[in-house]
Amino acid sequence: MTDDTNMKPPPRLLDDPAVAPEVHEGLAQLSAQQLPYDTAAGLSSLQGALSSSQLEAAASAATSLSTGTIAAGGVALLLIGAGMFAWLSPRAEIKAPVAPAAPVAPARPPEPEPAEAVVLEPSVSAPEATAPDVPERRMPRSAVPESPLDREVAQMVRAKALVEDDPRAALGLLARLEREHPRGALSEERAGLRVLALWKSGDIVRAKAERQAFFTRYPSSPMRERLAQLAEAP
Amino acid sequence: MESMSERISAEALFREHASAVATFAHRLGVARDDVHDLVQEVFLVAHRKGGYEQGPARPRTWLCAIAVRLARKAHRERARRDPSDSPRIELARGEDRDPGQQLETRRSLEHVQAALEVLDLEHRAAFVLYEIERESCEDIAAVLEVPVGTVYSRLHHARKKFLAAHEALASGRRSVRKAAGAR
Repeated sequence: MTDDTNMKPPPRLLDDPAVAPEVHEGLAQLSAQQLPYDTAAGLSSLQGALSSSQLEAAASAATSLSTGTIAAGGVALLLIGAGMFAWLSPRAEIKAPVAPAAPVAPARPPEPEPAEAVVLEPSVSAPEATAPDVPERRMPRSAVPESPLDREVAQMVRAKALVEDDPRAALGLLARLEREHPRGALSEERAGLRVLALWKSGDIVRAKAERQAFFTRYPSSPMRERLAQLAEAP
Repeated sequence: MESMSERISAEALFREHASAVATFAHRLGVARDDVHDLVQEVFLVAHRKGGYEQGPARPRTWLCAIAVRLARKAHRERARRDPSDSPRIELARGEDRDPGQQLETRRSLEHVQAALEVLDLEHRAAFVLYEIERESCEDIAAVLEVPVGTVYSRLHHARKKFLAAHEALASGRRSVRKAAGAR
């Protein structure tokens, strides 16, 4: 079966006079509607995540490994983890905007402008600079059910915290992460973190092998350069 | 040259497009409760890619394409867990009208939403990008990384299925109304 049987696009339904007015009406309604989403809260958390990752990078460079290259790898990881950290402390604030008792079609309460609405003052206190004492639960989750991504992020944070001081435990946690989230959103970070943990645990041969696999699988990863530097460390 | 200066960071993209990506994801069939995670993933991927680089498609289309890929992944996983699971679109209402008109409008919208549900993800993505987001076929092809002919084909199929489903829904309602009127 070929996908190329039709060589021109159909007219857009909204522009097609042959289409029933009810279809026009429904599509126009759908086009005009927006899912409530608090962009401001999301942006705050993103900015907090970026600045926190820089703080972590600085702390990591100052305190951690003796070899600058390994530290650089850690910094890279932290920078890569910016997106991950976006889900840490401000998680509840991000979650809230998506569905703050928002109007759903049947009830039809007149919810005027959904986006850019009330921001639950995202106390985007950057996730602390150093990871080791990151608790398992960082976010208040009373009202927000924990999603698979939440769990994945929490486990990643714990694994990251362990890499420096207990890389073997980090490897165990990463293996568990892989079992529980085989195709998780943070697969790339997990693979990069595993290279770092292997390196830190002294298993340089496997670290290099997995680094190579990482490069193949994620050729344009921002971690690439740092992991390459890691491999060149003495 | 200019290419570097045309790169847009994930943060800037978020500021500009997060809301639209959330809505798009939901139109794509992502359950309301899952939209937040998907939006976060979209911008995580954008961050990993170093942000948006000037290309054949606009930034929002590029982000939507990332959302399609992530939604496809989530869809497969959800289908594995529960084949009967099919989230419904529940978008906010944007305006008020008189009650009768609201009812009609709501029904039109519900039929469109229900008709969308019959499309598989690939058709639905092309359909939503083209019909709702009003992207060009060339842009859709570029970001979905398929030939433009494939986009045409998906649109034709999607349109056919969508209109058939819509007609079935509408005629069902008409017959219900007729039956109610005959009583």
